[in-house]
Amino acid sequence: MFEISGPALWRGKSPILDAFSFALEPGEMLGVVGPNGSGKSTLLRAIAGLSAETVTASRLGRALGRREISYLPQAFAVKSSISVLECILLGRREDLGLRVPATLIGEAEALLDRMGLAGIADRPMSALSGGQQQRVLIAQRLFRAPAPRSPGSMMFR
Amino acid sequence: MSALTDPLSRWRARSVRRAVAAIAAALLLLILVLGDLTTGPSGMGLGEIWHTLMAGPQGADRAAAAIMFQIRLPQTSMALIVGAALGLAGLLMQTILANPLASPFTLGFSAAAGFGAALAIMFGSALALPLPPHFLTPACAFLATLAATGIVWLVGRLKGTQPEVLVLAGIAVMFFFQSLLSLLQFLASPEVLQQIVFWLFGSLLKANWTAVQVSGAILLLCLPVIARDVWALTALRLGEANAESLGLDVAAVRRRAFLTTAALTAAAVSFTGTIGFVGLIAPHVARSLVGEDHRIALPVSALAGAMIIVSASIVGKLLSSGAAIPVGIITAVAGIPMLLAVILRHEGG
Repeated sequence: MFEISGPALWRGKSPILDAFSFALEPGEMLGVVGPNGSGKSTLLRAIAGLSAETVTASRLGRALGRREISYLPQAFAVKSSISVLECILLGRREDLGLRVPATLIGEAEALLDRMGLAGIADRPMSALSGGQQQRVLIAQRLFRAPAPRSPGSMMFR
Repeated sequence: MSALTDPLSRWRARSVRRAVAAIAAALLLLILVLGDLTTGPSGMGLGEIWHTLMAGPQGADRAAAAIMFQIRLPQTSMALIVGAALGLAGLLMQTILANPLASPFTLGFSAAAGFGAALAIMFGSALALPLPPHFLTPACAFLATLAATGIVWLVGRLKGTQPEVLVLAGIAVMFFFQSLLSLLQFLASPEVLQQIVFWLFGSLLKANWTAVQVSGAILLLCLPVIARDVWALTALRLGEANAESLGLDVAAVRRRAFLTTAALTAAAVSFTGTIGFVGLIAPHVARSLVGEDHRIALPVSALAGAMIIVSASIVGKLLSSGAAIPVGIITAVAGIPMLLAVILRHEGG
């Protein structure tokens, strides 16, 4: 079971959300619904650890690390000519040295295969459609996650 | 041809091609350096250059040794250092500001250096400092650059390090120091004004071994800082939101790159004066040759910057053999068609 709780969220000097907490069963999906400007993105950013406030997320009582929570910001166009494979590798930026370890390339290749992206591994990101880009960016996050996880444990927006 | 239809093999082949392009650029730079060493008012062939270099500064042919070790070698070394520093600084700026029009001069560093130098030229002799003028001017240029850096840094601290904030602060700093420089030029006597204008041209004639050592040391000190951030910089190319959601402290990377750029630009312009366009074009050349992986784009941008300045030095000496045309003028004139060519070939930026 996932448990997530946090304090009231602020953006600058304006309050956005009251203190919150909720729990999710394995495989459960949660949609966050609300009018524009009601704080949906603020909530997701806070859970991802990108705001000043500290949100605690735990799984079966164990607090989750920052890297265990994947977050894909709202659709944005990638204008870079970096290849799909390099984009995936960037998911583990911290593990990349001046040489990229062959095992990492192997893992990235396997992931691309699983995601049905193997055929476009060498294409530049800027040449992909918006949907393909999003798919690659989801793969980037799966590549970053410390352990393989079931799709149900991800939060979709 | 099954190997080429596999995307991963194609990706590997492209990585190899990029490495080859980098090596080719290094070889071309070596040829240009030899060309630069052989050009000058007193013609020296390649063989003669080789003998003089081998004989060392104390060689038997005093005239040749003096030309080589007092004039040509410091100038060529300075061309390499300035070109590499501006090439690196340019790519860093374009990446952290996510703007293909950014250059080391975007944040007003060169205007500040010009003001510092003018201040030293005008008031240096009146102050009667123990420092010789050929050292006081670069020192003042350097200090003024640091002041400009401080202002932009402070704004970044107070308002955040978003590209728009940094660019606006930089433009404000640039106009501020340019106005101060104009004021000094207006107040200066004709002889002093001539000296200021000559400094602003950006010329390798000011090069000497002290300049080479100081600028070279700053360049070397910056390299490990840049190397640490190569992947972070590449990640920034995918957009700030994406880099941030992957756990990258974007503000910290920006601040580091911005301080490195200030140091590199100050190292480059303090001794030679303003050399325009190199920091703008070199990154475009690098990206169109080897793509956006900063592990290879940064070194190639440095190589491209060095190539541009060494070529400008050769052209300047060939066009006017008596008094070489300052490289700053040549890079500015030649830079515009080069920039247009790059834009037309590679509309993505």
